[in-house]
Amino acid sequence: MSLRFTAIEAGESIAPLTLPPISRGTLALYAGASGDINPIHIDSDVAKACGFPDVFAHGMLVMAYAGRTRRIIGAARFAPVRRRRCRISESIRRKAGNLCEGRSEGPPSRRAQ
Amino acid sequence: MRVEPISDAFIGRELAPVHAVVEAGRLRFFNKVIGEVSPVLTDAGAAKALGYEGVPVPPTYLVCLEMLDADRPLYFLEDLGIDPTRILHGEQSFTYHTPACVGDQVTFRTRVADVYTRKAGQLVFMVQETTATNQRGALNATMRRTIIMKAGEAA
Repeated sequence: MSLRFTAIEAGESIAPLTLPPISRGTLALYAGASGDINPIHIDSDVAKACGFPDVFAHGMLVMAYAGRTRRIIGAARFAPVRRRRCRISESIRRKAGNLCEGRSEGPPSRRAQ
Repeated sequence: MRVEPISDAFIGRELAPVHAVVEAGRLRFFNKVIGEVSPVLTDAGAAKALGYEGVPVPPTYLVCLEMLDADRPLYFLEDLGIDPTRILHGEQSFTYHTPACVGDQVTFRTRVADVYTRKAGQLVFMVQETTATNQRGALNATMRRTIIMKAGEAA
């Protein structure tokens, strides 16, 4: 497989992504689509029994949303991904609107120089 | 199921491999749920024009595929005796090599790479490393999953 991509310049902004509020319905659909059926994300009774105020979003749902930020502002180019890392620092409650944004640091070879 | 705390003894444990298939319909459902509309990730023609053999999976899909096709989705916890409601998924990373595309058969192999404690032993961390390899033996990605448990949360 030989892939063709255009280079992304360092400093280019990634188009910000504003997300709709997360509902219980979103979490149920994500559980089915992703295979992550951990009940703490979809069953309020289980979440409360485990000491949480209610269900909260799968960390990987947020990472999946962030994965959509591959459009570079001013161009409809698609950026392939080499490496991706996510630290899940705060539980995402339902109804919160969320925003993903970022900036290109340029190709790794250029960064290393 | 006997419930276990995360233990140093898990280090080096290899879990049974999971064999999975990248199916077009399931991938379409996943993309709809996360709102992915990029032509490359949703249209075979657009994907092939960029040189992919089929629609490639979005960046986080491999960990999902592993759960979708495992006999028990949370086997990576349950096979170690860990109660999934007592842990948090603290960190996840992916390093990509060969893109996984619709039609690919992917094998996941997971091992426990590390167990350590933080906050004077109150939090126990487990790092699992997973490789995803396609039907031709090419490495799709390596993944690291960090699971966090409060000490004493097992029972």
